[in-house]
Amino acid sequence: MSLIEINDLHVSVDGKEILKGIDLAMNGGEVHAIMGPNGTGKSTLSYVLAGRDGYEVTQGTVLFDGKNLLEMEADERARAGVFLAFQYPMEIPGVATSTFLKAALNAKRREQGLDEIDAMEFLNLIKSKTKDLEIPYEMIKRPLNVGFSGGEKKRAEVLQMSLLDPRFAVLDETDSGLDIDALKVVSGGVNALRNPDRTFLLITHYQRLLSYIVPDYVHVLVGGRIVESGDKSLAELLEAEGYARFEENEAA
Amino acid sequence: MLASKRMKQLKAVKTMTARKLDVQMAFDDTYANAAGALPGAKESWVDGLRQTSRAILGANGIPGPKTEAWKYTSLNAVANTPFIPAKKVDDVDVSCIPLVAPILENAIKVVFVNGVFRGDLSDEFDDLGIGVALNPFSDVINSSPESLRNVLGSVMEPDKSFTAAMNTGFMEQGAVIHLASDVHLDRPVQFISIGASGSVPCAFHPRIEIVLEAGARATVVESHIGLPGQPYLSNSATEILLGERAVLNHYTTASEDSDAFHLGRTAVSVEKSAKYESFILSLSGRLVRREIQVRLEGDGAAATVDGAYGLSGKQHSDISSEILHLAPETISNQTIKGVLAGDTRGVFQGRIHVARDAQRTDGRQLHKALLLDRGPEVDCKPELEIYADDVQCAHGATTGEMNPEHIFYLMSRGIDEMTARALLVEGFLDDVVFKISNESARVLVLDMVKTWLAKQKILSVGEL
Repeated sequence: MSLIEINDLHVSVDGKEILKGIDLAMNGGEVHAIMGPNGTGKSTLSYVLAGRDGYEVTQGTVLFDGKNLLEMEADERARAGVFLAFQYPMEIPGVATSTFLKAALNAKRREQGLDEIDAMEFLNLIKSKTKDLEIPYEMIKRPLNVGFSGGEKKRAEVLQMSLLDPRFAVLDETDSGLDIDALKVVSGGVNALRNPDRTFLLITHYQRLLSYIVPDYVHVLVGGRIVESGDKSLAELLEAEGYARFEENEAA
Repeated sequence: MLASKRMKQLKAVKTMTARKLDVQMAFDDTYANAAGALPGAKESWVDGLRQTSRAILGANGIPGPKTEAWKYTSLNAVANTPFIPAKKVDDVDVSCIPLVAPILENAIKVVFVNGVFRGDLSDEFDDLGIGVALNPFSDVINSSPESLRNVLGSVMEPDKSFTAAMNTGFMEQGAVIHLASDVHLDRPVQFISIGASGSVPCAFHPRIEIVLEAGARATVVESHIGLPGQPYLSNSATEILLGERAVLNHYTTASEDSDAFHLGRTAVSVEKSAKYESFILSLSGRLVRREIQVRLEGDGAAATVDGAYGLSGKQHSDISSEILHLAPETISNQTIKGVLAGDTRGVFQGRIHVARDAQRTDGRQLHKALLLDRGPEVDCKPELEIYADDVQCAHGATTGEMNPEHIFYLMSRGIDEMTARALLVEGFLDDVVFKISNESARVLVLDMVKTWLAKQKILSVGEL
């Protein structure tokens, strides 16, 4: 059985159908990429998996490790091991990044029956992880994402992912707004987290990210459906030819 | 100068048409003969100041909704409570006070119970160094009244505010801080005012005078708290004169008993290049009204008037500020944030006045309210009154509910909804609390916000 099984998933927003029957199975250790033009439902898929309100599943199922993911609240999903790296991470004034990270980490530890993390242990953990991701340590004392540059926000997302150690991570347009140096650091952080038990779903418009995080499978999402799947060479083909071919088919 | 001001006030009283109010002056009988026996009464100017104030109170009565300054805050409950002067209260158990008083690290504590100075509960403050004088108000007004002649009533104007008039009419105890030129008082001074009515409602009127000569620096915290019992009325007034280049950090917290009334006023004069940084925290009490007036009198004078309030149950909080830009290149910054739940009402009135020759003034004001359910009412009245032509002034006000996207972001990291809401509410208030520059005061206020939040059931309810 796959870690994630999406079967015939239909999703509507405000009564308008956005996803029109998605089928996708992902195994532990695999990296899948979903590519597609803007407005085709890529972000909808990521939000539905993470459990955001306002997305109505009209048909289909999503199983995560055999459990019905769609019945779980967003926080339950996260504690079970689902992680969404946001395209636009929220700025939360007044909440120190460290306070937030600790709350998130402790929520997971409680779920696992562990005690809250010791203050010193937390500090050392954060210090080592910020160093790996080239995040200035000072940043974690600042309010969450407030005044962070685009690159800092994405690094902070990867820091959270690294800390929460998910089994299934969805990265929504993680490459958007990154210059090449930041992209290398962020990709390096993601690659360091690749292991045989963890599954990634990369959502991206461009092939560029996939040069740094090389996927096992590439899927093309157009008009709310996966219209083609292949290996990484499909991404290269898309980069060369664009999505026009699929969009024409969709229109027809 | 002071004499002419009093004349003016008396004239104002005479010419004012006595309005019929539906509330009676609550203090007539009880206080009728009190003034003669108060400290400093043998000084004619002190006595005159009290008499003037009481005459104003007598003529105006307790302000009602037709008085613009009290449009959103009703004093009916105050008027209907038969208060007695607090010094008549003798059944107060003070043993729990050390447990309930907010702790300000390294502070010189000066404690008042029902407005009465308590040396037994206060720190020693006889010898704070050369140029530093901290004394009980009644001592100063009795033994060296001349030192207050140009201070007392100089900016705390009884004809401008009911709160000021009531305090000035009945002021008895309090404290006076005087710092000589260029003296820096490193330890913060913490006034702890405790209301405790016991079996009879009581009223008290603590008076604080702070004078910083040129270049002097100090940090002063006022902690207003109370014990359960009959309702009390804490009516404090703090008058502050800052000389050139002086810097005062002044933080006022009101966490009164849930049945208590708090009417407090701060009046400040800021001379050339001096800085006044203040924070008002209002967390509990049936009715808490903090008034603040800052007069930026000299070139380059600057004031920060920030604040935060948290309301639940049936509380009413009112922060009314008035910033007067009276000289060129003066700066004011105001951020007030409030969190409201239940059947509560939050009021912010903010007036910025820029005088004709106060060119290149920069005045900014922001009020943000966060509603946790559909019960509360928020009244925000910003007023800009600009007579100069080269100024930058801005004001803004927002009232809204919690951002569901913020809640989702936190939940997507495994944080349950209740904790997410609590973190966001705390963050909403902390955002402005972080601006307090004095570290121990900042820690104190952050702790008070956290403690208040922990007591709120509002955050344990999932549904908005």
